[in-house]
Amino acid sequence: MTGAPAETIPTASFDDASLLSMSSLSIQNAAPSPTSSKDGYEHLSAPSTASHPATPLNSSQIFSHSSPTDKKARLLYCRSHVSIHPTSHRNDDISGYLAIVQTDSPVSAPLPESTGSLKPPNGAILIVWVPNELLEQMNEQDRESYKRVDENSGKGTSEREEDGFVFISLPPPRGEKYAFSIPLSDVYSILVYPPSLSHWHGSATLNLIGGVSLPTLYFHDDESPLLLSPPSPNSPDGPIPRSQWGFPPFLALLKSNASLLRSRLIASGQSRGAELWLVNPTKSDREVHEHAVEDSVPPRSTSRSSPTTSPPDVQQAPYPPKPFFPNPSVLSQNTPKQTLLTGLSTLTNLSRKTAQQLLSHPLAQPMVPHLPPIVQNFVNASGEWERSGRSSTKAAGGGDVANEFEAARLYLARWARVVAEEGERARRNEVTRHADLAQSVRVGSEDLASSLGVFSLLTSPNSKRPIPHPTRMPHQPITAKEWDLFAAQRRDELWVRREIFRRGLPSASEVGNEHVRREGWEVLLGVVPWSVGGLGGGEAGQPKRRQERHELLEKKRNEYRLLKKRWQEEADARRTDSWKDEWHRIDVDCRRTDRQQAIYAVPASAVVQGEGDTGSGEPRRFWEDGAEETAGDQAGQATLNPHIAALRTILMTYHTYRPELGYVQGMSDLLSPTYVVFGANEADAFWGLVGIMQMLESNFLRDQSGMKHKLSTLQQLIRVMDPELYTHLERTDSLNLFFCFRWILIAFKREFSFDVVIKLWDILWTNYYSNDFVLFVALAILQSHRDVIIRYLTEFDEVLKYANDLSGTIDLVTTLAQAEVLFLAFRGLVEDTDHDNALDELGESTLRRRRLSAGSASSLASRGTPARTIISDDLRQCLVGWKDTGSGLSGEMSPQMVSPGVTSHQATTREGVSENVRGLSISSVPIGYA
Amino acid sequence: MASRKKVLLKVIILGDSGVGKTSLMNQYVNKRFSTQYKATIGADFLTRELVVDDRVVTMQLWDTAGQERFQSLGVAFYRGADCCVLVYDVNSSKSFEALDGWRDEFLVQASPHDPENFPFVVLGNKIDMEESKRMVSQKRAMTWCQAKGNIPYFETSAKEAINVEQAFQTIAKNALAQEAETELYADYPDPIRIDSESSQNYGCSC
Repeated sequence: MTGAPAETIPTASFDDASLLSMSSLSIQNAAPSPTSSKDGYEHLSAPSTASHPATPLNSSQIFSHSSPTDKKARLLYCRSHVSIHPTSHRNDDISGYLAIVQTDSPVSAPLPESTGSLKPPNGAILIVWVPNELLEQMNEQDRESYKRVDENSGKGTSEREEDGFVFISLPPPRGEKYAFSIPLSDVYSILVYPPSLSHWHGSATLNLIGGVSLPTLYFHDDESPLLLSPPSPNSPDGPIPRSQWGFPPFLALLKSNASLLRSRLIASGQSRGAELWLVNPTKSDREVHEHAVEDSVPPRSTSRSSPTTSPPDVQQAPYPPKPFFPNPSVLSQNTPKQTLLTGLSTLTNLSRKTAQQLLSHPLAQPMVPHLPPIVQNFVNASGEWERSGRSSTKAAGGGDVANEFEAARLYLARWARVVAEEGERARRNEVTRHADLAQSVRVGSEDLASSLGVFSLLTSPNSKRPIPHPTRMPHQPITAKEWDLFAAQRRDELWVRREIFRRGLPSASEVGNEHVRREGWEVLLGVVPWSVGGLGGGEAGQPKRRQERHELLEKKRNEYRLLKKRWQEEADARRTDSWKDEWHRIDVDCRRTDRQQAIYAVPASAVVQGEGDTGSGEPRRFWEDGAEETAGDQAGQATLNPHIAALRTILMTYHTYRPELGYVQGMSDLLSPTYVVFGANEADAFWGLVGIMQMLESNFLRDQSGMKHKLSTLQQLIRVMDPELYTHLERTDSLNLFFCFRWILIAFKREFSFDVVIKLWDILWTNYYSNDFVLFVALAILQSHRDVIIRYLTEFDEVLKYANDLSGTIDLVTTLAQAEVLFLAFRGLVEDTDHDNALDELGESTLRRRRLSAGSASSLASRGTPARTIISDDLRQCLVGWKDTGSGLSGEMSPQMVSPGVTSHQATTREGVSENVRGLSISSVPIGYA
Repeated sequence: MASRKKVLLKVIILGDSGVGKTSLMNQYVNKRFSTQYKATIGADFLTRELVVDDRVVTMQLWDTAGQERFQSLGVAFYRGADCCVLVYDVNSSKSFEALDGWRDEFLVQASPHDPENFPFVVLGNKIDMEESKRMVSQKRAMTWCQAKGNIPYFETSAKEAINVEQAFQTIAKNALAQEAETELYADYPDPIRIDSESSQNYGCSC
């Protein structure tokens, strides 16, 4: 097929009606003329229909636009594995070739907007994308040339071919298989997203003059065979070094043929490093997008808002946003310590990315059996890792191969996670080591910021705001001295809650700090009001406060004693089957709650008079009675100890205190750390549990409506904040989010170690930002694992197993930082949406039209979420925090306390569970969403 | 070539809280026993490969929370089950009496094609306890099992690893028979494997 006959196709012309019908294209004189063959470019000859006698009809239609073969054009750039994603399903991806082609005569007449812009010196430049399928229908010479240019792009174009000319057929834009070929002069702007952890493939969207956007091109660089070949040194005549991803070389070539301006309306530090490049900008474009700096200078603006609505909001943002290695310019600007930290975080970035890139490559799959046994053992150690046989039941033939691949995929998912965690741990250790230094506050926040960078936080593409920053200072917990002064300084409760949210409470093991968390939780859980004994008055007011707190606690302890006595003395009731059932249920669960903790592990005989229960003044004996009640209840169960018995008594008392709810599995998990925080005081721990249950009661409702509601809200949150993950969960049948059930039900009690979960609960109990902050913690965890989930996990049970296995591996500090940022981003999104809706109602259509003409808005809107985000009432409820609802809880709680029904109802309302969701049944159908 | 095909068997373990579901599963899969297993919250599973009738099968054992309040979640886990294991504690009459409820609940929620012949296996656990504590006799349990269509019955101890291997071998065998049965329904859509084709596609969907 080499040397395909040059044949003139009479019908071929760029004046084809189908091209003219394109609103943005006005091609009049498209016939390229011959160019010199000694120009150092690759050349292709024209495709010939005659050389494809058996070409199917559709392809001949496509190539009917071909020009005479004596018209030749240069192929300046070509890159394979550039795909279009017509749907979010990767099976639908269409891989193809992106090319830049130069013709010798102008292809299009300039439109009014582009007058005054530079014209390419040497004919018109065409940007071409051809799917592989169409490329295969070209003649062999063309095809080979395309491939050769692609392969040589790393080495420059020094290898010359014999004479011949590039010729690109011009399928209609949006024609067969999305192929397009458009003159550069018709391109208004190019919106670029570099690859990131969250967006595997970098992308570029061409926005045409007139507002039309072409399908987004995704650079599947990782699939290119070039990735595996060693990088060749840049030869002097190789002007296009192959860089980390496909767009920069493409951009470099465009730059030599047109004037390109990087808009500063899109900051590099946000929106996943989005860049908007204006092609041959007009003067007015320049004014809006340039802001007095040449495009060679790093743009520094942040505002993404429409040029006509607000002036660019200038803020310092480094560019390029995230170098893989600390580059010299960064090094010179920063202190050595900052440099180290920056370096560490970028190294983490690198190791994660490298690991994932390596592991993600299909070619890596067959290597799995040859991986070091140590790694394999590690994977096997967690109990289960392979799932052979799953797909083979469908694909009978070749099933074994499929098995191996599937096992490898799951294995690699774990490995990727392990590598990422190792890197993260190493970095954290390094940061902690430096945290004591003078600038620890500053360092701490930078650490968090870079951690967030690692996790590639996603905000809504529509957001016009910069990515919010975490405010927490987890390495500086409130000290006892400060805590004691808060009341003296007349701090109000919201301030105190914010402070606890930001800094957390100190560890009780530190001398002098023992009482802080306990007193903090008394306030957070409504056991003792913040204002007890009056605020202010300096230190002189302290004795009064202490006195009144003590009196209030005594009162509550008496109240508890009465509650307990009520059921202990009801001998008749205790003989009923239902009572025995309940007792047994509580007993069984308490005996297996946190037995590895020292306080609960000790055998009963060893601590007859433990520290516990001094507050209630009750002789610790009745638990022995309890054991007598149910003969054989120790059968096969772990032995009792006084503290386990205390948990049991508290839960039984709670069971009678809230009979309509009763004891539910999970409550012992909530109680156990609370009991420890309250110094093993049974009565105080009971009231602490009451406070927790006021927040979480809906989790335990008989019909599970509260959990369904929360999971549904989380589901909506994922849909708004991370549509891609949402789509993936939908595809894997995991949208019911059962894999988050344990997380939410008991506020991550099983996901963190005992000591760490107490720190988490410091934060959660503040309800500072949101009464549903736990959902943002869940979202943060999902976000940091989203890439692995999306890439490797394809089934419901795989996702569930993966989520369950995260237990004990999650870093609290980074997760909370991310949760806060997610909350702030979500709040910003809601505000933006409301703002946009308000604008719409005002009929600001002019504004919208202008925005469209700026070229970026339409493509921004087309990415990810639909242009209009709908914020359901459930989601809005997530914005409700303590300051909106909680003040009533923290005050005197007696009226509610003595009337359980009322409290239960109020708590339920507070959680946003309305009657209409109670009927919702969890079934195979995903939880309903608004 | 059917005999060379690897098969995934999905097995659901049900029973009152504290009867030893998690312990049995861990004894079978990990050969371990601990008194420190916490109450199961939500659901989890373990898998083990074994050979049944000269075929290598992978058994996926699903463990769920024992409190009936959480059973409304079950349906998501029950789907596509090949066998259901009902566990009770021989030292607790109540846990035995609850078996009827667990069986009915499963049949309603999993809605297998042929409820009459869906394979169940009953395990009476904790036989390591002293005889005086025993509340449910072997005879009583076997009578119930016979009445329910000759359900295979094993008395086990997860703690002492008594009868555990044998019980799960039978479970696997019955599950495999059920799986073969299920395959006869060629048009029966597998509710879980909605996207299994794409599992071999390593591309990213972004």
